[in-house]
Amino acid sequence: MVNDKMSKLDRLEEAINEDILAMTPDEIFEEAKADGEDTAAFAQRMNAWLEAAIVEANTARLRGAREALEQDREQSKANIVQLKPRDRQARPDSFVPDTMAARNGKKLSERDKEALDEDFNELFDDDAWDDDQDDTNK
Amino acid sequence: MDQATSQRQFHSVDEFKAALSLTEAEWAKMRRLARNRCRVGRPGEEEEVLQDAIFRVLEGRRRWPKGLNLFAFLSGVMKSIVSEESKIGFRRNVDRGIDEVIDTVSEETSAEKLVLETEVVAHVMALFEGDDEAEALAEGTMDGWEKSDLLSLFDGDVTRYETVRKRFRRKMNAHQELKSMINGE
Repeated sequence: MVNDKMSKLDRLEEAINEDILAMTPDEIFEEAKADGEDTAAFAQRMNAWLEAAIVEANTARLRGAREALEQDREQSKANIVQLKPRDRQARPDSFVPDTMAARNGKKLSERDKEALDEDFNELFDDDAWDDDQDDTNK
Repeated sequence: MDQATSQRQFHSVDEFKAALSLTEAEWAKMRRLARNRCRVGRPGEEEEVLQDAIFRVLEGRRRWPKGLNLFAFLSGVMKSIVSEESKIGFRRNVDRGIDEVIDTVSEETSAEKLVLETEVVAHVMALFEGDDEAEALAEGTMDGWEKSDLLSLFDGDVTRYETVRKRFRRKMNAHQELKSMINGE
């Protein structure tokens, strides 16, 4: 079937390409020699170029890999979200820590003292007791 | 594509380098393929185009699929290099709209291509003037005939067909710079 997208020249190019691919290198070699081509000089030029090209391509690939790594690192940095530290409020001067550790495990805390005072006040508050109750105990 | 899939489907760059230990005869074959690819688009630049194709693979920009012959693969890469359109520059503050520019350039390029193709085809046919069999083969090939159709031009004689085809191919190879012939460069 004809490929309509191909131009006449494309078809010609493909037909010749197929022919060359189907030939063995030795057949081509014979033909090239017969056509007066300097095959040895071409091979020599290409091999010399190839040697230098491999070094250049290795360097380029290494450079590319380094750049990709750098880019990756930059990307990783961008993914880390820095949290803004909360504003710390200064403690009032009157602040005294009221923890067991601060009291060294010995003294009563101010809160404990206040609670004790409250209990004593209630205990010794005469008005808090009912007189009849006293009578029944007699 | 993960690395394992890629390794299954493509040769590594090192495998490619190893495959490039070509003999003189193999380099001659590569050169013929390059010349064929460059005939119209980049006449006379077969060495540069072949080197460009190899370099793209060495750099890892093009990958060699497993199961595909090295010659066929590089020939395909060269074809794509030659067919790359020249880059069109957009002039800021000069070109009003990029679409407008693309349309104009595209129209001009298509028209130019058509003229060039007509001229090249005329020159190809002129190469075979006086050789009726080769002329018929060239016409049939350019019209997209299948091998069976082309064989009918030679009454099914495969040997005669192969001989004419060889003559045709060698003549084409000898005229590698058709575009220059037309432009008189």
